Amino acid sequence: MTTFGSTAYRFNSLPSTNDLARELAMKGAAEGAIIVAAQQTAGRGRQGRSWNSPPSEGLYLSLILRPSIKIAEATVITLAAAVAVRDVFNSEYGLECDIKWPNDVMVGDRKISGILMESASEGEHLRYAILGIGINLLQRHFAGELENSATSLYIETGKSIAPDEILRPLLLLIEDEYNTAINKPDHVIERWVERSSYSSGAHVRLFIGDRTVYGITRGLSESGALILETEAGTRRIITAGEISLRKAE
Amino acid sequence: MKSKELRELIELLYEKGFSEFEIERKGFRMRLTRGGEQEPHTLAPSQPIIVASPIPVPLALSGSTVLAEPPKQRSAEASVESIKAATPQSDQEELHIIKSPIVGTFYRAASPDAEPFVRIGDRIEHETVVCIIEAMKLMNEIQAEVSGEVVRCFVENKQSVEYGQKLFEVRT
Repeated sequence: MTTFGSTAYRFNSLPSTNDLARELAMKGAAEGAIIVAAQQTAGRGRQGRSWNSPPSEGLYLSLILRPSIKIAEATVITLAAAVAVRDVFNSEYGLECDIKWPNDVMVGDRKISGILMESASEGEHLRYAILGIGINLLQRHFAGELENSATSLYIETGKSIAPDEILRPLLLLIEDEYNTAINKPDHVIERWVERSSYSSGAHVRLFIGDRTVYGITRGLSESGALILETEAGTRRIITAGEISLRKAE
Repeated sequence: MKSKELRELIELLYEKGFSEFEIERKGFRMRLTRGGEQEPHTLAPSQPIIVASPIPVPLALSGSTVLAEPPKQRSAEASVESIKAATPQSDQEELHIIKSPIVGTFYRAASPDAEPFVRIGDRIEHETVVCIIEAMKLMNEIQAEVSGEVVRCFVENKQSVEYGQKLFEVRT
């Protein structure tokens, strides 16, 4: 039993908390250690995308995990993290959020938190995983390509919550959801489905690689993959792709 | 925690420009704060609470192999390899297949603009990362777990892969 955050590495500025977490994990850092930076100069999303990380306006957190599970069982953890972030907004600040498959936390169609988990496996077994979480807290506005796609806790609630203020309740929820993901992953899937408008019956567009697929969501598989009923009437199990809701026509 | 480990940990953190660091293990607690031009973080009540961890494993930053997980499969493979190497056919090429441990999407590079992790003809070692498989936004690095030369890649970038699907062929 660990307590997440009992080992904390704090920086005023880092290129990427996930990069340092990976370095520490490779050197043997224990499960539950966290890396927090007030600013990231090269915050990352998936496949080289950037995560806007201005000084002290958001929480930029990486958590080192070492579950004794197979890599195929680890995908539920990314959904569990989204449930935890969604719940901390709801329980601490009264903000209702949605979860876009698999783990973007949204207010309407604007992203307030992004999660990127990176791991290394040996054979079928996980060696370590880095759970990276970015949360927009104090931004007053977003410019450029983020103008219509991002939001912050301040914009949504008018509350000025510092990164350190949200950290403790968030870590408690993450640890709880993480333990559930390891021991009773079906419970995490249930909780995710309850909290997401994308989980079932949603008309969606999905970008998979260079292709676009349209369909209706039909729940999640036990590993958290999205079950999509395509327009052709076939069911597909989706493990990666960018999803968006289709507006009513 | 041994003093050598502690010294190396502090050196690493210093190198990275840390502002605060806290660690607590059984009978040991340390908090480092570094002064500077920027305002130091204050430890508000909402900070992660320091609780003695029952896990007896300290952070080992010295000798990175100390806490490295024992490569179970590798040791089995290594013994097989050594037996094969001892046979008269030892000059024959051995081909090793790297397979996907998970259903997901195959990426040859860390980002669309980045160089591929490996190319045909590259020499690789056990620890070499050969690709990433993404599933549910979990980006999992696949290590070679064998040393040799990459002679074939079975899948295209961004292609969906199944559990157990062949990814690379390596001449060992």
